[in-house]
Amino acid sequence: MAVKRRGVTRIIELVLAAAMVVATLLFVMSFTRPIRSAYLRETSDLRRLAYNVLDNLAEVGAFERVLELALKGDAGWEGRLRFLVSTSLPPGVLFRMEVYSVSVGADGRVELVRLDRGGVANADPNVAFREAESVLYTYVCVHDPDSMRGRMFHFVLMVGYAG
Amino acid sequence: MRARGQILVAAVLVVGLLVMSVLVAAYQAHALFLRTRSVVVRETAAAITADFERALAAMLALATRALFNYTRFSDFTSRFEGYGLKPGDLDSAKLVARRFLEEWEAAVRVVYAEKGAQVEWFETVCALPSEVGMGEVYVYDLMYVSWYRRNAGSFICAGLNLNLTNAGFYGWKKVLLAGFSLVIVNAAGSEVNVTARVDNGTLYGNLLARGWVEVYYREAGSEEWVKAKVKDVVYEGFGNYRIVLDGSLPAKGWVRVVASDERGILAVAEVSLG
Repeated sequence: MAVKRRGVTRIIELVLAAAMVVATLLFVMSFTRPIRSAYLRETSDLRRLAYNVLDNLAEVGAFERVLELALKGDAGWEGRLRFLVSTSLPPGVLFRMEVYSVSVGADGRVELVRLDRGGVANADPNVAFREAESVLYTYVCVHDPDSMRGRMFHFVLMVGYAG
Repeated sequence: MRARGQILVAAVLVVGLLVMSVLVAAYQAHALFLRTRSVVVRETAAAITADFERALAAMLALATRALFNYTRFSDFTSRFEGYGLKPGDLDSAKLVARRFLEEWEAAVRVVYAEKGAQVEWFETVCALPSEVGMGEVYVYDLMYVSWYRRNAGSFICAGLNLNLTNAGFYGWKKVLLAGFSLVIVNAAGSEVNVTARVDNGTLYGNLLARGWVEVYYREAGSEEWVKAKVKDVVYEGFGNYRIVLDGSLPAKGWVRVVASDERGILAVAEVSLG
């Protein structure tokens, strides 16, 4: 009988010990943050911000208006697009944007022609970005004017903080 | 006996700790992977899907403009002559749209190559929303255009399959219905009341700010359509517009309302007067 009681005690000890370990781990998990969580949060915010800026400009038909000028050879279009993107971003955020015209040949080959000359940016080319996110975006024109409808463009927008 | 029991307890504690540590590490790694991957995939997939919807809308706009007045909208229509677009011919517009969507597909593959984009559009069948009031109608063969009636509408329906293989994202499928519909609620005297909707029956409130509307009438016994001078257009909410004309509509005849949404999709509704 005495041996049986000791066995029961051992089992109870085991259960208690395991519960203590689990409880300790749960507490540790609850009160600690993942390593470099601030960095992860920041870059995903930048990416989301870049997509939001492009979505908003697409929604209001800004690309059609600006890129129409580009196709007509107006040199001021880069400044206009730079202004639109700058005003859509919070202060302190740097950006560089590349704009490509997309065409598809009869043989199915896709041709990307860069339209900008590096002027759609609020940072000098030699400024290094400390943290940056780059997003890709294709855009089929749907808004006025009619001369732009159905044209395809491709944008690369990089946003970040100065190093 | 006591020493063996203590060793057993200690061993279980250590093993339990190790197992829990491994589980927690695996959980954290999985959570980190999901957090860093899902954002990229979610936003990239949304951007590609939104662009596909724009491509569909642009092709429907092209078709409806070529159908209504090819010459008037030649800034748009003439650029697709090389694709085989013909004035007033919906079938040629469908062929142009199919070719354009193939080109769009190729462009997306190139642009998103670093993400391993596998994209494919397909034709499918969509039921028109009941709110449009056109009965039980299905959009197949890419486009459906029903004009010159009280409830008029233009629709395009297609689906998109998307994989982003470099992000481990497979099986994204979306069926899209884009369109614009117009209902003449009432037309008499110097007023015409219409209701406008887009896509899945969403009431459209941007007709004044971003679209446009025109009114034509034809007297009974005449073959000539006359463009009415619109004095004012009032948005009354819930997609309803009151068009006030400079002058009265004929007592007997027909009235036609032509409207365009911001994407350039036209709808032409018509009712008889008297």
